[in-house]
Amino acid sequence: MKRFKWLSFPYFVWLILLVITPIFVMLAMTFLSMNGMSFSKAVWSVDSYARMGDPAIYKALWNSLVVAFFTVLICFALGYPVAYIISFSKLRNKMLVLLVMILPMWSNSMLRIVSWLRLFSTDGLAALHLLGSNEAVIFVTVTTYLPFMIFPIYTVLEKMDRSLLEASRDLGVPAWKTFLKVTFPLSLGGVSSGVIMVFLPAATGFAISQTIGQGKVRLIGNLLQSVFEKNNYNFGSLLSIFVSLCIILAILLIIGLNSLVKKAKAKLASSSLNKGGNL
Amino acid sequence: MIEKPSIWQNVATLLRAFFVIAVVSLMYIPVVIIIYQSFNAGANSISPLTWGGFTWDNFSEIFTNRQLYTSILDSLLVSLWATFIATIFGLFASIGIHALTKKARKAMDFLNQIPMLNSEIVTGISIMLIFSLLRPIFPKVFGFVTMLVAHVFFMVPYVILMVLPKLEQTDESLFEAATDLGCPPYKSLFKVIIPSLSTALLTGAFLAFTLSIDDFVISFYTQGNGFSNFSNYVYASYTKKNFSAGSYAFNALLTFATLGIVLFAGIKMGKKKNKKEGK
Repeated sequence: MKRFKWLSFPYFVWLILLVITPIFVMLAMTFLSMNGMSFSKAVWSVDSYARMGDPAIYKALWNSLVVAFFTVLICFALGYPVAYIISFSKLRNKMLVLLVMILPMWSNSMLRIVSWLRLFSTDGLAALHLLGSNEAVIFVTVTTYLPFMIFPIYTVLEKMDRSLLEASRDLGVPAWKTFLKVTFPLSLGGVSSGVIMVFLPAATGFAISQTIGQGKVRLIGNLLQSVFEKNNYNFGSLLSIFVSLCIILAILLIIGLNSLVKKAKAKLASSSLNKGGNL
Repeated sequence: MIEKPSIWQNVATLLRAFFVIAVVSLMYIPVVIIIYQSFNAGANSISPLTWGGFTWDNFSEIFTNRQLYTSILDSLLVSLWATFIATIFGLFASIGIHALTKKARKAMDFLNQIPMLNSEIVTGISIMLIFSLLRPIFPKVFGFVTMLVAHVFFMVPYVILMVLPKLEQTDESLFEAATDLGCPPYKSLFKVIIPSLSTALLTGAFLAFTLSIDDFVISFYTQGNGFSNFSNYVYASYTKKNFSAGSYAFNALLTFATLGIVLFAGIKMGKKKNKKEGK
């Protein structure tokens, strides 16, 4: 089937056009100053770089990281047990339970956000002043992206070789230890993809912070959006590159942490094995 | 070995079920609000979520509110076309990537992951910038074309993600057998390889469509010339305070339809199972 190699070429060109070209366009834009995209009136300038000193940028970035961190944490704390319970349950119709979980995703996410907004502004809940707080933004982000945490973990748990768990139990290992030493390490792949899938939209979105946050919660996405709204494509380009770099760093960190945990587990396992051998 | 479950085991099962139900209901609250609002005559009133009596009016508003109606049609138009194109594009790209040498393959895998791992907002801005450059030549390019390109761009990696692993499992000797028997290679590709990928293609298309119809951020940056989608209609009309309660009704209709299909499929599957067990 090697003759079909060329079929990847159109996609390669497509990716170069839509992934690599924008990076160079953005880079070029950061050294210019103009209104919108009118290149005819563009002048060379480093204004965009001067604006990077603005502390508001770092405040928004920090706030995004805080919101995304807690969203991921809560999604994990709720999502992992749910995936685990369903996967290890004796239910005959697991598919049906999964469908029940998918069904809310068939409601438009923006409309779901608007519904939370309406609920939070009812007389009873308005007294709590939920709107405009970081907590409310985190809460709504959690309910929006929770399925993205549950499904990858569930898939990994379903594919796991259950005889390993039986072996552990037959050897007299207590259930909690089996979970910590066998089940959880084997499900880390699903956890890290769940974490990435929740972290990305939570850190860079702007709709939830705009509506639920009432403009008081400013995330990096809000900043980026407002810069483009003001037609400042030059500073906006620089900010986009900055956001992408931060995302790459965060993903590398998540992947790195994952492999670090795996390595530590492997070391622990081999050392305990050696101990067992000595006995 | 059948053990009679102890009381504690029963309590634990109950607690587990309770936890899953609590988490799932968290995702269902907005869905319930949407359905409630779609029958609520007071859905558009300033005081949120007050019951203004039962009505069907919100459903007829889907067709009478011109903005809402066009946004729904635009959504369907973009998502259906984008799903169709992305599935075919993804299929051939997968076949091409599968045939690549190890080194080229690694580079392609990396490039292919960028649209998935980049933040939506930066993807949207990137595509907007590329098309802004084309605006002097095609002044009316923003709208259907930009949104279609953007949606295909973020969907193809998901299709590849579904198809490529399946392609790896496909027995290549079947393809060789077909060509050895005198079947031209491209005919064997269509007659042998592609049919074996049908399930993966279907899952990929389904996933892509789900992501596309719900997309907000990428469409936000690529809409234009009066062409938008449902998510952006909800966002824009809510901020401009001319939000139509027909949005709730449309979404409720969609929920009922999917629920109907799911129940129908579930009953049919259950009957099949019973028949098999009966034999």
